[in-house]
Amino acid sequence: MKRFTWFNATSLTIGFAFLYLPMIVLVVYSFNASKLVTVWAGFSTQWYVQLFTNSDFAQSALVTLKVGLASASIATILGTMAAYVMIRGGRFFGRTLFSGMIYAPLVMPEVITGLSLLLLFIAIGLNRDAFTIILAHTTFGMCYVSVVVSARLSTFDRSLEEAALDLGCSPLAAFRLVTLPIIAPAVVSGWLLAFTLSLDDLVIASFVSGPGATTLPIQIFSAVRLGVNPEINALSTLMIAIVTIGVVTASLITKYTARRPMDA
Amino acid sequence: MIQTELASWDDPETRPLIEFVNVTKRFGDFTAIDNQSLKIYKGEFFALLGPSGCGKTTMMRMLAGFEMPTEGTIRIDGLDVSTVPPNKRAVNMMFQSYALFPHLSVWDNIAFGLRREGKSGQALTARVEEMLRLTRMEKFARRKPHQISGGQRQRVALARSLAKAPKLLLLDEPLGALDKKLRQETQFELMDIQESTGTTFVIVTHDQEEAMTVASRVAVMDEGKLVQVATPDVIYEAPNSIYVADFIGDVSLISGVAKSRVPSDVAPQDSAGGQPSAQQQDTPRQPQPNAFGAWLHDTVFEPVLGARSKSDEQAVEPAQQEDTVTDTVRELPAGGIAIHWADGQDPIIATNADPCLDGKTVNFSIRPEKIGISKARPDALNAFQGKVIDIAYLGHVSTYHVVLTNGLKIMAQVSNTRRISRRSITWEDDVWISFSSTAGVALEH
Amino acid sequence: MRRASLILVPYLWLLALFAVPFVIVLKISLSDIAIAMPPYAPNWEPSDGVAAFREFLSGLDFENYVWLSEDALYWKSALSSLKIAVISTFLTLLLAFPIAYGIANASTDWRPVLLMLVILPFWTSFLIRVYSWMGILSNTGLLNQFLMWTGVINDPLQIINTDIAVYIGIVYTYLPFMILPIYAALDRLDMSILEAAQDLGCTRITAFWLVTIPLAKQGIIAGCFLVFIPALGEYVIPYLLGGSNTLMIGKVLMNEFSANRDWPVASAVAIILLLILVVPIVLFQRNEQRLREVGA
Repeated sequence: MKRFTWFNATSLTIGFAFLYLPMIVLVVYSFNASKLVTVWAGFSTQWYVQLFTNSDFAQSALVTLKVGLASASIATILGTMAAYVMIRGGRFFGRTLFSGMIYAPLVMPEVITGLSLLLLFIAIGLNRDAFTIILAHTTFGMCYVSVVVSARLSTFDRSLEEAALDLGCSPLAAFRLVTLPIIAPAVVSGWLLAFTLSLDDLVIASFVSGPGATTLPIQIFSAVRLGVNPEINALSTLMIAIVTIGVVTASLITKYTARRPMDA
Repeated sequence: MIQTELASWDDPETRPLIEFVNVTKRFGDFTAIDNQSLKIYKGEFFALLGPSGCGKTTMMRMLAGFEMPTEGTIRIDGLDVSTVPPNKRAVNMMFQSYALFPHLSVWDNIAFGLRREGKSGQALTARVEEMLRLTRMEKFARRKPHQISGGQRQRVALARSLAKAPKLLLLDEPLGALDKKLRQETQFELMDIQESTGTTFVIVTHDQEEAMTVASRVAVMDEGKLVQVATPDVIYEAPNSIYVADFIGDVSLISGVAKSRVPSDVAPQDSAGGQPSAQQQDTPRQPQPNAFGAWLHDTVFEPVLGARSKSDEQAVEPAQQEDTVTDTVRELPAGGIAIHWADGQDPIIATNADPCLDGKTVNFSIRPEKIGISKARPDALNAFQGKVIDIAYLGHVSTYHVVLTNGLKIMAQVSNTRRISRRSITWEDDVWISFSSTAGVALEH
Repeated sequence: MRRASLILVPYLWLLALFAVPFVIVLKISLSDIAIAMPPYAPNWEPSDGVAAFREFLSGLDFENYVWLSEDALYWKSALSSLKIAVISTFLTLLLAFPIAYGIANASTDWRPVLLMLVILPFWTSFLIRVYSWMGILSNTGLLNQFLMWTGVINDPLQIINTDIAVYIGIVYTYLPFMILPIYAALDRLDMSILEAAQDLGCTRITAFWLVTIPLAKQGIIAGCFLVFIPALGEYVIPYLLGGSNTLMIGKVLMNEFSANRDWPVASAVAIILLLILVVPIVLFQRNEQRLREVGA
């Protein structure tokens, strides 16, 4: 029996207030007429207007999206392969090293990952631009994807693949027709995770990006390191709105598709 | 059981469908299959039976192509398939977990293999519908696997594996996930489907009752070896080892030293101290035919020569055995061996045993239902005194645990044709157990 | 053949973009600073030949590490990082446990909603979440305005640019990482166990201490590591919320690298940060292993 007490109600209220108040404040003050973010001076949308006329933000948002889409997609392919190798690969030379390399980036401080990749790119004389950011983001993204996908694969009934082979599939067809449709939700979650992490990354991107490729977090960071900036509030509000709509829609879709079989 | 027609496995002319030739399978240091050969014929319902880890699943997975033999050859229909991948074999498998594709409907699951071989349109639909009819799943064609019951899933799995009309269907513990009642029903369904489709079935199971029910032949396996391959009745009535005797059903084992009996041996009843039967006093002893000779006489020569003398055959059957005819050939008191199993006790007479066992230590194995139990001394070749220490009432039968005078425990099973209150034997009663001279099997130690 | 390529593609990718860079960091940490591009020496190219390689190896030394160990700044920053990570992990646990407990005890209709509310901030930008506290914690910020309005204080408190602001930032950004594993552990907990404890004479509070906490232990440990490990190498939070006095090893590394352009020392700091992290990472892996075994 589960109990819902006043203690639980209070702790949840305080907890969620702590989680959401700062963001609510951020959103409210994005509509502040004053440039001083902390003083309320009436409603205004001027910071949004200013934000949209500032082409730097649009430029870096585009770079961020491009990097996110490319790195998440490559990371999903590589990460799914890596997960498959980890769960189904059996024994091979250097397996321990391989699993170490998959788990290590998850716990590696960003400053170290960024520094080491930068030193690599310099050592091999690679020009730093959006491409190097994609390489860097793909590397840590694939590790997250592989963790998510291998969690699903490890609970996957192997006889399903054997049944596909038994019914005449080649190993590749068995993967395409049976394994992939079943692990698809995990692959999609992996992609979303890699995409979000890529959009979110500041430290690694600032190491490996060059002057030509400024991502949104780098742009925001250089603006806020000098102090609070209402334009950033407006930008943050937009980002929070997009994420909220996305997450709520996704959860509604999941809820709807989860219910459907019962209707049938 | 006497075959009036040679079964395919007894006919040297028949070409086997499946042939294991000196197959060995090792996983690292572990030998799963140890240099075994086996032939399975077209139309058979063949059971691989054994405890978990005995290698039966490995045998099946090598047939399906999921494992390659380390040594030796596997032939299907004369072709060496040892290295052919599973998707290129005319063999289908029904998985223990059923392995139904959760993202596909029942219909699409059944159609899966057909689509892989390029069937589409009318041909595909017709075959899938046929399979749905065969397994009585027409109503559920549009459901997903998680929307049907365990028994229905089992039938879909069967339909899917039969859809491609394989030469050989492998069934890996196909009924393991069903409850007992459903399992028994499904066993008969499986047999019907096997018969109507004419497919060769190889089933893997650890359930001896299931193997005995469905199979035309059973291979009992232990530690990577085929211990005995025979029809269910031979496995049961004439196990070739203590392992098989013990694995299939209940058995009492009595170990002793064998002495070969010559036909002129002293009549056993005399030494037993009971009253010799009138027949035996009146008629001089004659050489007696063995089982095959007796059958030959009864079926072929009888019309010409007349009935043979059956005077020396044991007259008394265990009390409850009259209805279950175990021997069409009457038993003979001569020949075979006498087993000296305890000092001061009469030897056990086993006329069906090989006299060559003379001088060896043997285990005499006897099924509980072959043993009669009575309060008075029965007129039987083998009759021994003991005391009832336990009675297990199982409804249709009761098993009496009788301890003999030397402390050996023997099980005797009696059909409960009478109401329980009317039964005369109860705990602590002194009783006689008795069995015929062909009821048990002497196994070399 | 197919299997080999399946293994090789991700393997080579990780070797090239994870293992090799790491070896380069290790190598540069053993080099000396040089006024050149790249700004370290010695260097070796495969075209230089084997003899040059031997010379190159003899040019590597532990000088940077010796130097780091002699400079109090680095000791202080390492200890300060540890202190900040430990304190903020503990504070996160204090806040997260009641939330996780509350969600685990909520009705089944509410639980997915509450969980989504915990996860939602994770999908929004980390940088924005840290930034949101800048306006709240500043001297003229909302927190000080509120406290002065209630009359608790007369002069604004200095919160931003102190360690306290860093604690708040870490607790805020890593809270979901602590809530989720604890919730998972509590959710697995069979409520009849608590009833059994009460049946055997526990009060609800002693049952909580003697049964709930020990059974949620592994979730708590996992959550603590998930907060502690990234907090130790944190750079953005101390940069934006902490002051110039807030010493954290990630900040020192960035400073050596970009301001001082001393790549060898920055690399040595990176290696030391990794060495500090090895112990918690290994302990975390062991805890996860145990968790998997319990689950199986």
